[in-house]
Amino acid sequence: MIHINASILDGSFYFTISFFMIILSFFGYFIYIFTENKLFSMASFIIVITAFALQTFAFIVRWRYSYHIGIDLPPLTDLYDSLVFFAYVILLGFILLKLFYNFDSLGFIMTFIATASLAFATISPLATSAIEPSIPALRSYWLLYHIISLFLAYGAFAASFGIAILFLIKYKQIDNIEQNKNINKAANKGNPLKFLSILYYPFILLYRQFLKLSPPIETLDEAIYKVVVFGFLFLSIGIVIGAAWADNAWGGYWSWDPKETWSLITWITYAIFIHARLTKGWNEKKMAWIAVIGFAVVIFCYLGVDLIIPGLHSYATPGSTPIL
Amino acid sequence: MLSKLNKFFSSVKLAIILFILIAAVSIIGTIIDQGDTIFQYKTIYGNNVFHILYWLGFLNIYNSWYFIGLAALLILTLIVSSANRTPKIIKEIINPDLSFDTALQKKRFKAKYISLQSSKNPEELLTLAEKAFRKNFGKPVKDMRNKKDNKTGLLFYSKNSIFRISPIIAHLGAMVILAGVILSAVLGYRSYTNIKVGQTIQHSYLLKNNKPVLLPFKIKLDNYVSKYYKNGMPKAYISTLTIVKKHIGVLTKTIRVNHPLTYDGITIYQASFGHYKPTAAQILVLNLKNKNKKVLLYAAPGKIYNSKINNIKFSFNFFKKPKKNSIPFYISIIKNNKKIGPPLIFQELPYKTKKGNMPLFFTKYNNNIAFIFAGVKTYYYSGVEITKNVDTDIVWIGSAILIFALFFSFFFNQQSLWIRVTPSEPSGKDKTNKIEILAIPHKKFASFYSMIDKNIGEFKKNI
Ligand code: HEM
Repeated sequence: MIHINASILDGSFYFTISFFMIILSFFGYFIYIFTENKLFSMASFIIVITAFALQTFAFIVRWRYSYHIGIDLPPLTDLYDSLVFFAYVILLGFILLKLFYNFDSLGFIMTFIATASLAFATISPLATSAIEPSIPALRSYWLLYHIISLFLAYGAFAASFGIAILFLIKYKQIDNIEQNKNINKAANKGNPLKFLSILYYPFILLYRQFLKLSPPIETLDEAIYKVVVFGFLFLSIGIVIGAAWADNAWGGYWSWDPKETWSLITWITYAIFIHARLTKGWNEKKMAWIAVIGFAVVIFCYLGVDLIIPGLHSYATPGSTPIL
Repeated sequence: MLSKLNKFFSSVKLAIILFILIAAVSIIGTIIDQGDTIFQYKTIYGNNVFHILYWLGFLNIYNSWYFIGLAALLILTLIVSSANRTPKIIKEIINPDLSFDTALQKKRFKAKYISLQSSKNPEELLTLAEKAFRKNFGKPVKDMRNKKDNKTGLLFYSKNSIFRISPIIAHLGAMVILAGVILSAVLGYRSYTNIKVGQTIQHSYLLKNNKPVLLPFKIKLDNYVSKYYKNGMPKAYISTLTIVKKHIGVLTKTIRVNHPLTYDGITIYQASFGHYKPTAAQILVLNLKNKNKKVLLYAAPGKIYNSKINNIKFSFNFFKKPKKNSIPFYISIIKNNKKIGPPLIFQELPYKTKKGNMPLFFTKYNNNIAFIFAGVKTYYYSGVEITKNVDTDIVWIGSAILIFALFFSFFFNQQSLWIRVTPSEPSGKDKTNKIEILAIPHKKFASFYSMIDKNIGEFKKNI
């Protein structure tokens, strides 16, 4: 049974509206990529900004509502809240990047990630928008700063992933530019599997359009680096806040809980990224690959750990046993 | 030999390999639960696999020799690489190598180099160049113009050069964190114990191996309460503790999750709670002749209690082989340390309370005295974590240094710029002077090159 989180009272209705808006903007960017008509990308961007504003409003509604029902902390701890917050920072990151670099082609990837996150939040039975009082260990302002810091980092890593995808597509083109001509000639000489190209032709088209619309490769490389280091900074801050909080609450700043360990692994992945460009023979392409892998690690750290490995930090089990 | 080792341990490649290995080992630790009991492992994995995992150190992987070894190697590379590079970098900051040609040779791969010709005289060219680059580079650090002969000239700019120490400081921060981690692991401990309400303890058990630690004071648990939300979710766990030193209570305080108590360098955290299996029945003894006389007793099975009613003594017992659907316990009346008469069997009486019907277990002796079973007594305990954390401050200081330095190493990059004018040969016919511009960023950013291109464009317009 599909149920949709949409209650005006707890603010999830507005998130659901923003979800549909983001889907719309995703299609706008999609059409933009094929038609190259700036009107579509502009309209999509305006929708993204409006959806972002609506989400800001929705957060205020949720926060006030949670105060109203006697919970004196903003609701950020359960799966639903964290997913909508994730979408929120991704949109924020995209808006900022768009203002700095004017990447229209990035909109397609970023709205896609935001759509996925919001869809999970809105439709998945695991995520409920009801605001539940949190367990004693989570009643702390440390938590607020811990989560905000980590999500700024996650948002940045999502953005770096998007840019790295653009980069790799572009890089491939430069790599292949010589070989391609020969291959094309060979391919046209009666390849028996030619009819199959109908199947993958749309992807080729998409790929070509991406190439056309994405900024120069050097700009992409710079943007990946800058976005990653922004994320790395906030990831470090978030981990330190978490450790300080754990020290305060449990008497140990580190206990090798799976989530903790995976956040360290994420941190290490991006530390490798930062050092990779200092090593001879590690070119920009490898850096872009680390940004892609890094985001996979982030997603595992954020959701995979909760869904697969039970531990101190699980979001995924509403009303589960006390986390103590 | 030594220099080879030195080079090996300061290579970034080694650091990356160590990072990858540490991450890989950590992943194993998240797949296999750490710190379960041997019994739990044997039921999950079976005996043989358990022994293999145990031998591999996978069950306590973060304390395994290879994990600690990898961490130690990382610290070593950090120290060696910092020790190698720091003096060089500081020297470069204080006393930069101004040579145009060496810079061009060494940093060709990220340099922007351009050479132009102009008939304007060298002095004028340099002034124009200064103007074009002023907005982005400020004033030259070194101005090597020979005003007298108005011939060769070199301007050197270095922006943000002081921030070249930020990576050094970032590494220092990482080293301080690791030092703090080692110190707190060596000098401090984390331990755990359960305290029954009313009990006083002086020992606690290490989290990592369950060995007892003697605390420098005793801890008494005066009271424990759990508070719940309306929907049954726990809201707070609250213990009232008294620190007892030489039989004197020196401090009484309540602790909750997130609100520990620190005394004498030792911190006590609320960690869990629970109750032990019931050990005594609660028996209400009623004098049937005088309804006002009643006593509530906690009766451990088999022990003899005085009902304080006509000096009648009794004991509370369980049947060894209880019959089905019958009440499994009974009361014996005791006189002169001997049970007299048959056991008093409880009857179940319906009893109405505000919450609904509840059975009441009731029996009586000689129409004189009634015993009512009022439940079992449970002993709540509070699980506390007792920690001696000597040096966490070092970890926090290291973290602050690291984060601070990360900020500066990421967002303030050094950029150097050389502008050189070489006048034409005095004997030559065409009086064109050569002007060369060399710009080197610390990081290869597209925006840097486009900024330089813009400045050069401006400069070109003027000459
Ligand atoms: C353990 C945690 C470590 C952290 C947090 C860290 C952090 C950093 C940061 C932030 C930078 C500056 C990067 C940039 O500005 O682009 C850097 C550069 C560098 N790191 Fe690390 N690093 C660590 C470990 C290591 C290790 C073990 C080595 C051993 C070889 C190493 C070698 C270097 C080198 C050679 C540089 C270049 C320095 C420069 O640009 O002047 N790092 N590191």
